[in-house]
Amino acid sequence: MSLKIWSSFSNREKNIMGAMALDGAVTLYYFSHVMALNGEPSLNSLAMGILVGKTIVLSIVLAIVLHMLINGRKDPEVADERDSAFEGKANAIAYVVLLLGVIIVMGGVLTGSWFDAAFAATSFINTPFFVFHALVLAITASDFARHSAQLVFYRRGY
Amino acid sequence: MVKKTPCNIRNTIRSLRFHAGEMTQAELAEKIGVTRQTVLAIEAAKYPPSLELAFRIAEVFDVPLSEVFMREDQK
Repeated sequence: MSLKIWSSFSNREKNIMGAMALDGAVTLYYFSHVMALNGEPSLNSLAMGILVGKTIVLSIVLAIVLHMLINGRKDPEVADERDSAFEGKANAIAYVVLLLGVIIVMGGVLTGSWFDAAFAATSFINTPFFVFHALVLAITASDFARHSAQLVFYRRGY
Repeated sequence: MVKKTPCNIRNTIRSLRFHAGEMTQAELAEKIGVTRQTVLAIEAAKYPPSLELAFRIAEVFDVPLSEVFMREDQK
């Protein structure tokens, strides 16, 4: 049954779903390790650098494995005007999500002092990497929105 | 109840393909330079093609553009 549903998707839809799964896995890996590092005296630039390096290597390896699983030895399809149109509309939606994320982060930075007492217990907020991680989340959210929009356009049209 | 389609432009591509020696979607896609999925989406009125692509489709069947695409409210 699930195989039947999977085969009903076009190759491009499968690649988009693969990219979403990859983004999710890499984000989970990265943030679970950041949380593990958080609060330790060893949290420094070197530890973060190593984690970022590991995450990049992991995402490259996973991308290669996913590409082989989904496409096999076939060359990727050449994008036509429908693909470009859907990508353009999806990018516009992703831009709005990214902008919202950046505005929220900027608002958080500007008003940070108001919330110091409330967030004092949440050490993640107080790390020097807070803005960096909040922006990473905003980028991830915008990428997720882009892929989701593309999937909806491919399924339902517009 | 009228089924609402994503775009309000209907087309006669399916019947034109049938009358053109039962041309397949893949064959039409190759002639107009898009993927089979795009032909499928245009036929199902899930994607309105660009003007250029619409003209290419009409040229393949050697008919005027108005015989391939028309507005939903047009007879």
